[in-house]
Amino acid sequence: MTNEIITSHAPPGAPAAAPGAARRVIIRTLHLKKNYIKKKVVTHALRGVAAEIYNGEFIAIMGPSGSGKSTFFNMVGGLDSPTSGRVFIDEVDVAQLTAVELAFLRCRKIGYIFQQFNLITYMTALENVTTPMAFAGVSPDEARKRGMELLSLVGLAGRWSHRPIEMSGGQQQRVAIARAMSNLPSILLCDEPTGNLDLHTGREILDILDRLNKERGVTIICATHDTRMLNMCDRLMWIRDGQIERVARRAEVKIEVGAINNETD
Amino acid sequence: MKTIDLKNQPVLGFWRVLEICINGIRYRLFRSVVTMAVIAIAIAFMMNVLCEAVSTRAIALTAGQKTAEHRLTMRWASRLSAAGAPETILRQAAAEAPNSSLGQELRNLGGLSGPEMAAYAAAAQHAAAYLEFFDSIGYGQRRVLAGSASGTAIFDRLQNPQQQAQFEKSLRQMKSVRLPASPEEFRQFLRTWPETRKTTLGIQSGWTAAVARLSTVLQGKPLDQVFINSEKSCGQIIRTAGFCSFDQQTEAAIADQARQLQDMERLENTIERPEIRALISAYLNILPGDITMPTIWKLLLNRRAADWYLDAVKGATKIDLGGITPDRIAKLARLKAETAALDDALQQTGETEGGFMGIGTRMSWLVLVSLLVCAAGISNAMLMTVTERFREIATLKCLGALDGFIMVLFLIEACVLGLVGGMIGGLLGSLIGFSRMLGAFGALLIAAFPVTQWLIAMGMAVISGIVLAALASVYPASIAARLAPMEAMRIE
Ligand SMILES: Nc1ncnc2c1ncn2[C@@H]1O[C@H](COP(=O)(O)OP(=O)(O)O)[C@@H](O)[C@H]1O
Ligand SMILES: [Mg+2]
Repeated sequence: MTNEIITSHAPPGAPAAAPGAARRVIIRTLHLKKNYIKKKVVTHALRGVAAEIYNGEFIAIMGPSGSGKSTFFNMVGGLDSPTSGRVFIDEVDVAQLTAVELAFLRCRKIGYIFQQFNLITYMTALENVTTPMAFAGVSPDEARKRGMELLSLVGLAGRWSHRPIEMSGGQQQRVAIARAMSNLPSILLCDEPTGNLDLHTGREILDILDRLNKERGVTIICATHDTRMLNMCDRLMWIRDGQIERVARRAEVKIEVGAINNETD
Repeated sequence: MKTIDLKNQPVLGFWRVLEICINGIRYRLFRSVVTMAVIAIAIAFMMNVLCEAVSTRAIALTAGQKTAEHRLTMRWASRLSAAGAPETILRQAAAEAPNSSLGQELRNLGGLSGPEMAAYAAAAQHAAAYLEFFDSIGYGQRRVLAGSASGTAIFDRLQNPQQQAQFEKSLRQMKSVRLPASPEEFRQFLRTWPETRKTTLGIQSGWTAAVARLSTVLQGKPLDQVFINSEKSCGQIIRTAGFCSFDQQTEAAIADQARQLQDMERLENTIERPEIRALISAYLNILPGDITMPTIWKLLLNRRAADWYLDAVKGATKIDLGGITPDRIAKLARLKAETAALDDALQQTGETEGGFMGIGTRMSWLVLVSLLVCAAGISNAMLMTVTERFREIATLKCLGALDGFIMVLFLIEACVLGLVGGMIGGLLGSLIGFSRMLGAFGALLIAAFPVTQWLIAMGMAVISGIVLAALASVYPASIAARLAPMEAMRIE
């Protein structure tokens, strides 16, 4: 029954992505709306978004700034509640979850990567990475071991004892990725992960994300301005004025790169 | 519909949270120190007020006691020269146990048997309580209740049934005035009053007789001379006359005090002499008109000055100071200073009655105000540190922290800051408060040091530091923790 509704609201690009359709849907949104009310002025940040994201895919969400990418990211990650509409993660309605279940979801199912890194300033790189493990009940020794593995995965094993202010932006973002991966989530949500970085370090971050996607099969949802994302994502979703403008597979888009450049910059 | 296969989020152990919290405090060391300093200053302010309050009270009590000791001679002089009023006798009988030496003395003066004295003491206790009551009510109210009578005359007046009925009616109408017993008990007391009165008057006449006996023996010699000169026999004479509570200890203390008084008087007499005044004015380099008794006593505190003074007196006036040594002079000067300090202390600590912890109503208000100032300061400092960490709270929630963890984190941090700040502030406040009191009252403070009250005050200060810090930190933290992470991140 649910499937019918979903299909009828599925974004136009999705069914066309034939190989993806065979895969399991991991995130699904229905009529997702979000209004911000500030001093009686209502901003319609999302105006009914219906999207499906498949397990294991790398999807880039593009759109000009102010189009509602971050809002979408927050709704999907269970970081904010929608005005109306629903978000399903693994077929579970996020709105129905209790506070403890939400904490559980944020802790183990989803990893978050923010534009401003949001590391805990008073913790070292390793402590930042192991904190979510502590919340998941991993023993300190085990957490330390896994934390070091994750730090070497992002190429920062030598810097485990550094605090965020002692690291460059790119290094901080890599710590954030290691932290997001600490409880081996199946979904990695990134909100402009390269937005605060220069071209070169941005490239490194994108490579790590790509590797996580290809080697570990992590579903990556990445809101971005960065057109380099085109080379690695499976699908692209354009948002404009709080609505999905277009969804397309990479192969379909490649040819129009120039156009996209104009659109996003 | 599927649900998440949930295991509960584990709750982090206390030590782990403490570790995270200390880590945070260390990292934000400067901020934490500033917060702690604000807490410390606020608590110090409160503690300062508290310390002054408790030491004022302690000093008032001690000064009262000491003054009573210093006035021993005066007390005995009046006791031996005239019988006390009925009210005095009743009060003494009520305050002293029948078998104490003063109780024995009253018994002897009245010629009472043991059981009679016991009964009298019990009746006197009631009488003293009612006398206290009639003293404590205002003049207007007493006038309505008892007409122009005062003291025991009130009891006499109320023997009249008509007056008594009138009294009870008026008393019922006065809402603010309460007898220290039920009306029935008071009626009972009035029934036995003639008996009590008779005994009291008996004691009084016995006392008068004893005074008369004593003055015949002494043949009109002034009492202070008696105290000083007849070291051995005077106690015996007084005891024989009927004042059996004048024991050897009292005798020795009084002789000592009387001699001191005499010596002081002699010294003060010499100072009146113009030639001595001229010498002193040259010595101190001040105008003779500016020389006052206190200046000279202050000067004589110094042994060398006392030495000089003795020589000066000998050289200039040939007055015999009766073998007074410079050491004796210095000692008398110290005594004089002490009495002056006691008088001073009693005057300064005058109105310490009632209120919180017995520190007086005015001081209680000061403590309350200081507590409010403290609350405002601490909550301001804590609110600043918490609100600037809303982003951190939101991030922790994104990582899967439970609301409870965040509250515990902030609670522990507030407790640590409150504890450390409170202790430092408490010590600082005590130091300031006590050194000020030490400056004002000197040795008297050390003699009267209120250790228990100080510890209680210290405990209260530290606890209020912790509680205020915890409230001011946990409340905003809980608000931020209950919001969705992104909403919390937006508040800034
Ligand atoms: N907290 C907020 N209060 C009011 N309006 C907001 C708030 N956050 C975002 N918006 C508005 O919602 C719209 C979408 O914002 P956002 O999702 O941040 O866009 P993007 O991430 O694509 O730049 C914008 O018009 C923005 O001004
Ligand atoms: Mg954004």
